[in-house]
Amino acid sequence: MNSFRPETTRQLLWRRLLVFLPAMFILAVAECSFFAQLYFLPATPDLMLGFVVAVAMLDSQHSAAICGIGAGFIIDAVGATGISFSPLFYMLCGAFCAVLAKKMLPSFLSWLVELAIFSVVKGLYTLAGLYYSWSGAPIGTVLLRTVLPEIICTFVICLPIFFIVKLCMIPIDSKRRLRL
Amino acid sequence: MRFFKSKFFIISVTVALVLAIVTSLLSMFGFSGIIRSGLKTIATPFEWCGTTVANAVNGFVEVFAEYDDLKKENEELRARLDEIEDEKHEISVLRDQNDWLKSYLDLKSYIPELTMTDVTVIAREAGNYSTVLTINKGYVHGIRRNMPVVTDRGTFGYVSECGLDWAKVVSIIETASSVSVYTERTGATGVVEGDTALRAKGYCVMTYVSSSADIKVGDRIFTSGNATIYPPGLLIGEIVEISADEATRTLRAVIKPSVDFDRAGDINNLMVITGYANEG
Repeated sequence: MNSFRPETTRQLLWRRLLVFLPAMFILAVAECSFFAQLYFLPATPDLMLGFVVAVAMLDSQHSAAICGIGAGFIIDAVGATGISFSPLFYMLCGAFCAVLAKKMLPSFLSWLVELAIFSVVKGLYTLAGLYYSWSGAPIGTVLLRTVLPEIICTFVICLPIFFIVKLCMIPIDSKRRLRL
Repeated sequence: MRFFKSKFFIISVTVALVLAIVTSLLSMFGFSGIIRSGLKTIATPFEWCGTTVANAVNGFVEVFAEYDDLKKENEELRARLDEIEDEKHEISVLRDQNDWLKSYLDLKSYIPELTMTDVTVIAREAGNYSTVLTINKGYVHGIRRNMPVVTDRGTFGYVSECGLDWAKVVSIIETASSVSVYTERTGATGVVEGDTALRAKGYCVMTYVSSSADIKVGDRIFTSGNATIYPPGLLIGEIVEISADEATRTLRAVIKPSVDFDRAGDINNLMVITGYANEG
């Protein structure tokens, strides 16, 4: 008797949630408590973005979109107050990144390119947020003191996240990408 | 691109938008949803851990970041400390020198036209009672034979020998010394000379005192200036004992010099009187 039965979409989704949610939670806590307090870093890196981009690279568009919503919600819960569109931002990042990843090989080099692109996108999102709560600071100062350091820090510190997500993919059958 | 038109994408965008708006509104009005609040509660101990580790890392990095600055500051402080130590030593030397020079101001106040040169003792005569000293200045420094030598306490002796850059000074307790003196109280005159027996105690003797002279123990003795070496008014010492010399029918007084010759080894600085008003 053959006991093998293919997993349903729902089962696959639960598997991913079970693995990705704790990872996202840990990264959110690390971002808000650890990295935010290292005085020698010029800006706090966006680890959630790195995670979403890595999931988009290594898994499917669907996974990336769901992870994006989850990442936005968790980061807002852990470290944000007031108006925030993080779930929408990360979801869109995940979706677009996955579409872009489809045209590339899922290699580390592709990861570097995508991370660089979406770090810049995050920088623009921050700039938009700053524009919303404008304090009259010159745009040059804002770019040099806030946006550029954030882009660089996000890019540099998120580099190992690719391997963390790869590690997370082990319990998930990575060849069977989630399709809804 | 079909993905962006899919039902899944539209639902995802809607969910994300609703989540963002609802949580933002709740947050703006001071409420937080149960899930959000729960997440934050769970996150708190982890955040505490994260903060603790971050503080430790910050402290660790700070040590290395500030190491060069601290090293440089330490070197600067050490150099400054050395400088201060040198200054302190210099001040101490100057203070001693100042005190020493000040003590001679008294002498200059009652003999105003004295000119003096400070000298340092560089050698002592071999023997137990080193009251013949060699000083570090001589002919080229304006020192001449028979110039009187004093300390801040009183008369020490005179220059017996003078080289180019050295001179020998004989003290008043040496037998080779002879000083014309008078007593401060009555003006009784006499001659202070060295005495072989008294030299051991650092004392000398006043002779040729008239038997009718009014002298007593405790009288202070000064140079009279009658001889060629000493100017008048230099303190010699005080009378500690008086006796009559039957043979010459004069009085003989034992003088305790104001300079402590018993501790002549401690005398390192002297003044040579190079000139005075009544110099003959």
